[in-house]
Amino acid sequence: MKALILTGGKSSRMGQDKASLKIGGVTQLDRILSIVRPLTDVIFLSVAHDHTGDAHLPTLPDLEPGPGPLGGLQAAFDHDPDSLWLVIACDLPLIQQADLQILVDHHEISKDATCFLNPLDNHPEPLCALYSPSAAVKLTAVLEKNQRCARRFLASLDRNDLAPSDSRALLNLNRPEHLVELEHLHQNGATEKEVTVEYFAKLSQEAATDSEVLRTSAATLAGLWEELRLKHHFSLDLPHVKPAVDNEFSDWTDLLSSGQTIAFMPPFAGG
Amino acid sequence: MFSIQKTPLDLAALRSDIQDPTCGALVVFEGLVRNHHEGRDVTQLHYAHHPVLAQKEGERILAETMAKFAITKSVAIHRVGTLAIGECAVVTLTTSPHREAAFEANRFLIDSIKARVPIWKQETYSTGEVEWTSPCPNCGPVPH
Repeated sequence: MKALILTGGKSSRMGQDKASLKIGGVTQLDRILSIVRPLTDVIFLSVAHDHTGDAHLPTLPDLEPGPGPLGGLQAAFDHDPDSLWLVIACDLPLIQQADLQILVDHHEISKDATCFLNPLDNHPEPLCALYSPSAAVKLTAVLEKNQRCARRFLASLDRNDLAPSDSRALLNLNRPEHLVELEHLHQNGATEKEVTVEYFAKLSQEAATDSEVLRTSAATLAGLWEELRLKHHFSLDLPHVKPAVDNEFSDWTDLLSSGQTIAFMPPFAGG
Repeated sequence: MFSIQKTPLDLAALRSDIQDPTCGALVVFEGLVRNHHEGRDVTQLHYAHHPVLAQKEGERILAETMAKFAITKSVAIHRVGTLAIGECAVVTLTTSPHREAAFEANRFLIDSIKARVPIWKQETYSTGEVEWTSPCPNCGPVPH
């Protein structure tokens, strides 16, 4: 088995390269390396087509400019079409070595891919998965049709779907507010809380409820919102939603505690 | 005074309540239910709100308005529930000895209510479709 680490590029929502973001003083790239190394010695960094500069690891440049995340897998199979490839993105700060071990232990050679169903939205996660050589042929066909959606590609494969070690293991690092969430989790560990969540207007329509009582191990309002955004497939994201705690407007980075009533509100439209 | 009510607004009563012998100016803004939105025919509106936060934020805005402008009195009332075309959804009244302060304060008051008070509207269209609307981009910059 060989491993391919997707470093992404500069993230527009995050405002910087996610691989170099530090949580607890450790960059995302170094953390992913530390959990991949025990599984394989052959690790490549997926980099852009025109990548220059010195990486401290072997690199696999995209075969063409701007191919999206599937370009990394394409370059990997181009490099070695007969290998099993573990593909993992750098923006999964809660993924553990135990999760990667689950993928390796449960891989079936007859399947195109072994992956996790993200417990938050029940979709197969393409950027933390094991791909068999049989996936390479299908990948070529998909890319020839100019289909570049990694999630759709994985959904089309013959898969072994697994559950990760924790419901939040596949949480993405997408926004500056998520960094605050992850720093809190890193420093204080995850603790479970029970909160009441209220939805208003468009959000209550999309969630098909006005309120729910739920248990969460999110540290901040932003962490809770990300869980619920995936769960209910909300059409709005954090910049367009206002949170309130116990009937007072709050900040996304405010800490959650048990017993709170959290309101999520879409843009106001009175008058 | 800021309040939210389900029943129709009594504008004559509000006007007589706010009148003050020291004030030469009374500015009244009424927000009415319009029969069209972004090219679609609207047949009715439904307003929803966060009961506690809407009241709190409305009171905060009125206090800011009183502190910011040389006005004597101010009142704002927003309706919730289902409203027909032409009905008054929100009213803001300001009085001052001279007209300039009452005009400026009224503008600040209605703009702030629209931007900051957790109230939402759901439009019913002539096609039978029902949608929660987004804030109007033409309403311009809003004060904070």
